[in-house]
Amino acid sequence: MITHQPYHLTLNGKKIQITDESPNLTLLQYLRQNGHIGSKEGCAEGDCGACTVAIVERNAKGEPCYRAVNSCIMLLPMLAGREIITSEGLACHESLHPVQQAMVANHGSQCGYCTPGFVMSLFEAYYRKDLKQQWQINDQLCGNLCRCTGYRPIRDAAVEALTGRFKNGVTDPFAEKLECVKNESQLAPGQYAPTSEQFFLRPSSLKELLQMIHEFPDARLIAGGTELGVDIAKNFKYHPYLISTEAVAELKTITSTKQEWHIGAAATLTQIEETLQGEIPSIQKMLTVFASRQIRNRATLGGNLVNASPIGDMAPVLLTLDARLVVASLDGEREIPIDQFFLAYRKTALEPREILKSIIIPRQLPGRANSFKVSKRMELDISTVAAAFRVELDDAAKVKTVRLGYGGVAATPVRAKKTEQFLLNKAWNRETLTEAMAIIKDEFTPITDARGTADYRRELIPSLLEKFFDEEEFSINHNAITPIPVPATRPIPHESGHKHVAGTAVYVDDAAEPAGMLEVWPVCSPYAHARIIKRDAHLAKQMPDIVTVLMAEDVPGENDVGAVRHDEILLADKEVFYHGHLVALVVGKSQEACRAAAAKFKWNTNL
Amino acid sequence: MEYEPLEPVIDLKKAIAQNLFHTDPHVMERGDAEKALSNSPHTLVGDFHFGGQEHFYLETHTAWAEPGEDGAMLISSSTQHPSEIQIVVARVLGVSRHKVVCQSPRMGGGFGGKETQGNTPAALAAIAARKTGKRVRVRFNREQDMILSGKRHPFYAQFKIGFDNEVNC
Repeated sequence: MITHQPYHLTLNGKKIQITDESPNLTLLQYLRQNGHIGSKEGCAEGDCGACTVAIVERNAKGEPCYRAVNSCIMLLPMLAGREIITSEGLACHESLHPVQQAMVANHGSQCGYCTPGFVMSLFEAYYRKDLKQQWQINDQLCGNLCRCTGYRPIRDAAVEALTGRFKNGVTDPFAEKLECVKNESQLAPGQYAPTSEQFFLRPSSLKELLQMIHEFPDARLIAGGTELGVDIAKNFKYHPYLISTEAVAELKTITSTKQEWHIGAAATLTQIEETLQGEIPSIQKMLTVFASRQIRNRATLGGNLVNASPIGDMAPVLLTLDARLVVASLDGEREIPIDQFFLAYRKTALEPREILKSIIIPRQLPGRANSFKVSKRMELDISTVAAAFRVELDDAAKVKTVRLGYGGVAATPVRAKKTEQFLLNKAWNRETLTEAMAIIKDEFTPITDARGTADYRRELIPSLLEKFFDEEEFSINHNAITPIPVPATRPIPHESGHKHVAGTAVYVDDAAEPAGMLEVWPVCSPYAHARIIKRDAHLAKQMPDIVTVLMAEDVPGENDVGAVRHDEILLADKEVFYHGHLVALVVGKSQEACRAAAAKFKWNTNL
Repeated sequence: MEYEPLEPVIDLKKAIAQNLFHTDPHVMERGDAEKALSNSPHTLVGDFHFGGQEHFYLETHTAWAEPGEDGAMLISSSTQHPSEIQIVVARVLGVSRHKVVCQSPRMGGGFGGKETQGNTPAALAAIAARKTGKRVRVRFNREQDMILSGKRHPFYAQFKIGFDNEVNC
């Protein structure tokens, strides 16, 4: 039995009650619709960082901290009982926050659209006591895209702000805030069900969670939501029944014995990074190219594994470390070795109503290990091929243990067991390697997709093994942040610089979205060239909240938007000339309604 | 919607072979190039091509329209070319240009991608606002923006160079 409980969240110090918003509404949608227009949407899939805000969280030690997150893929009920800070909330009276000041002083903004997001990533950095090294600045900012300024002035701003912090005697309301909430209780449980056809449940114990899963088999589990959030915000999928793992302490904790790490399946990647502190270099190396800081602040290791994507970043690494997975249901717990967990494409050994509880990773494994990720960008990208390796030699320098883990080469993350078998008891030298490379090249039959051709992948498989053979083990470059000399004079700041950093610069949509105007959804041609045989809008017009549907006949003047020559037909009537050519525009009271009506235009191909 | 798919021409060399040009040739000339080339001791002939590009402004194409009295229309557009928005909106509405006011407060990047491509969202907002009598917002999400807007198109170039034996530095 679910009882609807409205919840509270705190936005820039102001407490707000949420009573009837959809559990699928994203934080960014909520912010912008309610006039908090500082946070921008650039992609709606957690890739560009223009929507970045900070939330008050707990670090791996349980201390309060700020975490930068992508508000575009965070669902509003995830914020229940939480505190959110946006770029508009940083400036105190007229004075900018040090990270904002540094951005203005270093010309860190040009068009300013990405700036509020950068400012919030810098804000998290400013209060991170563990951020002392140069590489961490790039790591901190890799989840924010800038298209005009370039990254150097922004990094200069980061260096200036970070090297000038923690000064004695300077009161900082945001540092004080973290002190204030030190003794506050952890995330509260809750039941949010604004209608009888939707809910967002947040149980507070494993037992309660398992009971809920049993009671509501149609509900989706949601941890960090970095995958499900994209499904909702980008693919417009509706997930009415959600059960959150965030308040289940048993799933969040990371503990250790001398021999093993026990990582709660819902522990975030950032918490894991903070706790392991580079102890297992092949994990640490993969974490540095694993999505972005914002994503790692939310994404969980369990989510990465149960998602069972063939290119999941951490699976190949854990395959080489002989990790074990503890799964739980109301019937009890059982352990599955990770190489028996991935059964088929996106299918795991989890039974219905069974969840991944924790991941056991052995410590101090002998031998050497490394991991590699090949992708088009270094950070925030999906791998073309990922690989991890571990080799232990015996006293005679022969291979005693070998693990070769790959992602992106088969339907699941997989070990190259045939090649492992070949390598066992062989001398670990160039000759063996050459033979192994020939074997491993034919061990998998990778596919061609947007990230790489089958041939390219087939070449990568042996060459990554060779790279492992030749390269040193990964270690962090511990160089401290190098301060930049403060210039004697500075150029005149950008006229709108202070507004960019404070999130108060108004762009076209910032005036429109909170104003509640009529919305539209385009109906586009799926063909690059086609003759239109029939256009019929009457089904779309009958949909709820639709005001009108525009087609070629509705253009009062000339149906053309060509800039110089009049050769660009706006709404196609007889023929479409490019993929995406507009044929109709649905106008209605919400984008959701317009999108639903636009779906009523079915494509019938007369072939 | 019913379509009869036709063969698209999406390759520059194919388009040239089929004589499918967007516009009349645009010629820039000085002197008699043909004659100079035929008198050159040496000539070099070649071609090159490079692919199209997405401008990738962080802020996608956006416009909103507010209908006014006597057929007037206020447009707010993320455009690099407000006067062209005014011209095009007046054209699609079938009104004089003085009836249309276009303002562009600021842009979240353009890089050339908002010189002409802002016309479509602005025109759509204006037509919808005229028809409904209400303010209308047109904001393309990233996917729509990529599908709907034109890009920096690909280029194919052929060249012929004439030169002599002398070295002039």
